[in-house]
Amino acid sequence: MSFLFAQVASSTPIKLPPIEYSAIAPELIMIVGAIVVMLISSLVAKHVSKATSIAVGALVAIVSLADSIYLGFQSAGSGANRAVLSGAVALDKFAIFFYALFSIVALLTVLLGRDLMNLDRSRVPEFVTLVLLSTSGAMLMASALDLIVLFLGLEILSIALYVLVAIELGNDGGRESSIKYFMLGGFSSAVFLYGVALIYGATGSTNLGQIVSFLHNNLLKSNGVLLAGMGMILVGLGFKISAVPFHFWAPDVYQGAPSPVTGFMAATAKAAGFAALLRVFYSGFLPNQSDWVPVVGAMAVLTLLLGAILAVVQRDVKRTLAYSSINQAGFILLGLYAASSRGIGASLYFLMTYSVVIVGAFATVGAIEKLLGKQGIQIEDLRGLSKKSPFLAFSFVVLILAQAGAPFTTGFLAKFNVVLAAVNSRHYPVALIAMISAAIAVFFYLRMALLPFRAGAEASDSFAPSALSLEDSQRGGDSAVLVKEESEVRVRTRVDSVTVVIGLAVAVTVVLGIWAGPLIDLANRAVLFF
Amino acid sequence: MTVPGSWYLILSALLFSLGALGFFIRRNILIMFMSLELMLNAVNLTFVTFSRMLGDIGGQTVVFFVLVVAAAEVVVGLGLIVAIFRRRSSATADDLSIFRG
Repeated sequence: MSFLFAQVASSTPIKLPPIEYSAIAPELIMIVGAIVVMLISSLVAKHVSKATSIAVGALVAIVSLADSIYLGFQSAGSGANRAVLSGAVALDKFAIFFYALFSIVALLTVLLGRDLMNLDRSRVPEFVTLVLLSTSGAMLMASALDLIVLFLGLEILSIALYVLVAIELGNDGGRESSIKYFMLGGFSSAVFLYGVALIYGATGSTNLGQIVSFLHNNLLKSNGVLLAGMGMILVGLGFKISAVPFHFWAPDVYQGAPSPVTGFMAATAKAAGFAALLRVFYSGFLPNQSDWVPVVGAMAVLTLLLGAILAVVQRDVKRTLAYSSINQAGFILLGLYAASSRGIGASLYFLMTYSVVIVGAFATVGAIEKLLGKQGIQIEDLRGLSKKSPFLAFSFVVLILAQAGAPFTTGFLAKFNVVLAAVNSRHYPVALIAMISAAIAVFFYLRMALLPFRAGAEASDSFAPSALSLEDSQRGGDSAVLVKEESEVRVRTRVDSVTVVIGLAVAVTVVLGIWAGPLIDLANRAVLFF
Repeated sequence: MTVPGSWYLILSALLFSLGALGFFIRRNILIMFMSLELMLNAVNLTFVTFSRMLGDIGGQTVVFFVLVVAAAEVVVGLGLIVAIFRRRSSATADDLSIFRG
């Protein structure tokens, strides 16, 4: 034994590369936070209420947000974007922008865990842990400079999401969604990875910095391996962002997953997929622009049209929102299709505002589901919502109109900017198609937005008794109106943190829609790559 | 006799295609899952071959990462499959039909 030790000690020491932990601090905070939540819940489970684990999770997200803001100020001061961890991870404004975005989404999602998820006390910490872990994977995807690190981030994000979708006990829809998501997600990961392998074979490296310098210095003629690799990476990430023709999992999964998880998935998984797509294609494969820009354009056109048209014929609210989310992915793709720094900035602004809107929208859907006492609501169920809960009806309408791109919301500027970027890059036909698709989309958005204010006398009366609590009926409210008011008050006091989340989302959407300068400025400055 | 590297690449491409084919035409969830694993292992073979051809150790270390990720995926995947098919007699994808349209 001592002989072995002596030999090891006398050999040349292993040189460890310097690790700049502060550069990946947001990821580390998320992972450590997730472990802490898990440990607390398993060591002192009896004393941990739902609210405690939620509070710890929210605190972790806030700390991570604060750290990303600190990193942002730091990089604004020194100005330099750089590669850290032996060139595997980038610390640039782009990555920091996404750190902040993912922290915000995680914070909003965690706050929904107590009231909108059907979980018992021991499962809430698991929900929090998975949300935090998934977020750390998304952060890694946004900052990865190496395709393998990107793959690891993708899997950390996805595997946690598969479990999150199925986390509710007794929710068969959630399980079915989860397995569909898992199979197609696994397939897309494998395709993505094969693409990485082919890129590695064609360029000799998986590092984006080395790939881009290789592509700059060598003119590859008729390189099928490189093209196949790029195509497969596009397919793999296309699944994550649910771009047509890789969208078919999205409606089923969005519909079956618990509403807060759907919102989280629509925001985080989509933003992470786009972060990776923008970085890999706009930064890594920029020298081969002429190869991928037409393909991205075709994908954008299909996504824009199919998403809008299929959304029109849906009856289920969450399914409609899923197709709407596909439609929005088409708009965000326009920014990449423009292949200009302006386009990237427009995409980033779109992602930031859309993430807040969609988390708020699905939180509202979850709260409406709870109010109506059923899982999965049809569009017709929205009729008369303004009588039952004016707050939910108002928030729902604002968040839906923001997705439609109504003026005075962030959605308008988001859509305007990406279309403008496409026009500036002289892609007139696609810009025109985007506007047509926005017009088609307005149809189903308005249908959903108007219904809550239509009178729905029959529906609301038949609903009222079922929502009564035992004490309400024991108290014996004589008039139906009184009883209804009481049940409303009960709902409102119980969904407190939900109200905060929805209120925040609505406030951000409207305030930043009117006072838009700072965020657009931020998004435009975040496009600087290494 | 040395086997040229391109043979390995062709073999791995074939394995990957077989996996993809199996994934799309088989209806049993477990077989689909196995096809997925076959695809991942085809990718591993590609990485090792390229690593050898390029004289770069990077490709071989990737394989370790992929193996670990695949193992993690199996854990979650089998857990899900057990959870969803515990109360059913068969494990076919056609049973997953709550959502349509």
